[in-house]
Amino acid sequence: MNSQPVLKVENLRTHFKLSKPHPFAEAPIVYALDGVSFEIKRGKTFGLVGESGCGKSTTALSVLRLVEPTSGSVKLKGTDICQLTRKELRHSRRFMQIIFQDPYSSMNPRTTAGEIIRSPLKILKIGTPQEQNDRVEELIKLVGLRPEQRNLYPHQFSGGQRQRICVARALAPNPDFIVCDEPVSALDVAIQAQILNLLMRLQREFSLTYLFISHDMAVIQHVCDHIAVMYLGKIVEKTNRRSLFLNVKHPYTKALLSAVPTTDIKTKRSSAPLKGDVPSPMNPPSGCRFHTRCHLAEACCFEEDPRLREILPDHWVACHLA
Amino acid sequence: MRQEPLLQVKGLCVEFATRKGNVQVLNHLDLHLDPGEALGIVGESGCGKSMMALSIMRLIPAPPGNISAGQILLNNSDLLQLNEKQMQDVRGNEISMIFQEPMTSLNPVFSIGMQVSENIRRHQSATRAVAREKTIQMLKAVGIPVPELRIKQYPHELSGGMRQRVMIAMALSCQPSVLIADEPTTALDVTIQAQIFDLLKQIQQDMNTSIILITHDMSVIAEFADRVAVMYAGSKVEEGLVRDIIDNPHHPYTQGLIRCVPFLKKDPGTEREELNEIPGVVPDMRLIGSECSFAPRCRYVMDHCHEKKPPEVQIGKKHHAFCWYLEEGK
Ligand SMILES: Nc1ncnc2c1ncn2[C@@H]1O[C@H](COP(=O)(O)OP(=O)(O)OP(=O)(O)O)[C@@H](O)[C@H]1O
Ligand SMILES: Nc1ncnc2c1ncn2[C@@H]1O[C@H](COP(=O)(O)OP(=O)(O)OP(=O)(O)O)[C@@H](O)[C@H]1O
Ligand code: SF4
Ligand SMILES: [Mg+2]
Ligand SMILES: [Mg+2]
Repeated sequence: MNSQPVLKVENLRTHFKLSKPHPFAEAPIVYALDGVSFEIKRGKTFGLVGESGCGKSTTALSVLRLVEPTSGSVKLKGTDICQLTRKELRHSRRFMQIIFQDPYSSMNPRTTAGEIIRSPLKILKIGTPQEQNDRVEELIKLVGLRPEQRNLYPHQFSGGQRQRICVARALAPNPDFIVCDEPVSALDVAIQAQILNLLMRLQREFSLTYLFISHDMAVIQHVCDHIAVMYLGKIVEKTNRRSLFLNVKHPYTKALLSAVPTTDIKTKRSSAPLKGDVPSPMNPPSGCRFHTRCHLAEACCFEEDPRLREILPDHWVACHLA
Repeated sequence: MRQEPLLQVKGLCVEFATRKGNVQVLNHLDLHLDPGEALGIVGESGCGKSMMALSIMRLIPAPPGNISAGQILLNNSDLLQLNEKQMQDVRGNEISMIFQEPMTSLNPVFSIGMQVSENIRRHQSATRAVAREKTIQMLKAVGIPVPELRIKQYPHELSGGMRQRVMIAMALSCQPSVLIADEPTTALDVTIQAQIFDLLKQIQQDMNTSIILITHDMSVIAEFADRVAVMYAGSKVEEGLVRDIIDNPHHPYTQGLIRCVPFLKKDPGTEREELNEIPGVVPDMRLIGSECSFAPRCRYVMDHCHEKKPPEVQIGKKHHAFCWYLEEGK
């Protein structure tokens, strides 16, 4: 019965039109997200990983329609978010929330922690003031803060505690689905472990579904059930956590994995696996977008864009040579 | 034969005056750096890593900061005794630093070529043309393609990785014997990070530069450093060869730090596991007195941990830690 995914994203594209450099020029377009599909089952975590600028946050924001996708569909429990009117969208916000990288910038510095956590309940008009109050108290404890801390202001908390407040705020309306966009990237390793454990504990307790974004492969490996690797607005490899690391196929994923420093002497890498920078998404390379940095690239890679193909059960790769 | 260390930090104390009283940000810190060695400094945010680096460079903002005790010996002469003019010669020529934020330490209104060659001219009496040649050569050495064109570009026109390379070129342009790199790759992708570390390793070998690498990432230390010092709340808690610290950490904080990080596995299995946590948060530096600063979070804590600074316990030839629990267990 649970086989219907909570979130199903199909062929999602988000292009940003920049302003024209002069009146007769064509407006440059950033192909930030260029045809991405995935689905997430209830209670599972789907990870997006890739270098800076590959379109992870754009995916997150487009899925919640915090930026307008150019085309494609996003179905949350069967309803296509992209077709909703503003009012309907507002209603469905209750089921989907987001946690950002930098908790401080997503909070009003002049409101108390309690008010911050309560804000989605107020905006969405959920419960009486007394009920909202009880809910805030419950949430504060749930995320490991002390009840009296609800009256403190954001600057009176540490970075880790602020992220706890954001987690509580996201949980307030009792959502099914939470987007976590680099939720631990700004935190120290010790605090990172606390927040990751908290997110996983809450997920088990409330069957939450996560879209989890990080540039840190080790974190992704640790928390995700399914993982997609992105490069320049596209998914290049998509599979379950085990298969991704055991049967890694795409040359980009391989390079990304071997760039991760390890404490294991046996797997020490010899030299940097990838040369050069990521090309600009305004002018993506022809054919396979990775061909400019790929050491395997052949003639076909320059011309034809490889499609995602299922080359092992539940293991999808976009590479001509895989 | 025992080598003389190139750089020695002895009993370094640094205080900051704040509205709520003095904060001791470094507490009797001892470190040494051998010629050609890469020393890693690891610890959580706020533990004093940058303060240690800035003290060696004599760049602690004073006031409110103040080096209240200790010595910093470079080839046995104390940098803390030099005047500002003499210190300027040391900076750049003997010791250089790459800062945490390349964007804030490059000047946005000058081209990068201008900034690197100015730096060369300031420290070496070179003509404009010679400095320009040297700049191009340095930019090429740090892997910037077509440096002849790049020297005309401004910092904002470069990617983060390129900017960090420019910073490295600038820091190395006068061939210092010590390079301090303060989180040189924190803002960069792992793929670019790998390129930068390759570059630093190559420099270490080719120019026999000694490097102090500051980071909060133990796996970066494992890949890059020979020896590592672990810091907590302004003090060194453990020091040793990288393999000793990673395979056989002794201090409860080091153990916690290593166990709480998710490390990439070849086969992660299908089930997810919880990470080990160090409970609690780093202490307020103002409240640290004469106890072990890790005591409130330590699972081995004993009575005298709260009363007296822990002693140095020798674990191996180059491996020691500061801890009462280890002292008892000897
Ligand atoms: N509002 C916008 N207008 C124009 N371009 C944008 C906009 N938002 C994002 N972009 C561009 O789209 C691309 C993808 O950006 P995005 O923020 O999704 O990357 P990301 O993978 O989240 O990167 P990071 O790891 O740095 O957060 C980038 O090239 C970015 O510059
Ligand atoms: N101007 C100042 N006044 C008072 N305290 C200060 C001042 N500057 C720094 N500190 C304190 O000094 C301590 C050490 O800071 P430092 O920048 O060395 O930490 P760090 O280990 O480099 O951290 P990070 O990993 O975040 O860079 C911190 O607790 C900080 O709060
Ligand atoms: S399709 Fe070609 S260029 Fe793209 S990743 Fe595969 S081998 Fe490399
Ligand atoms: Mg992002
Ligand atoms: Mg620092």
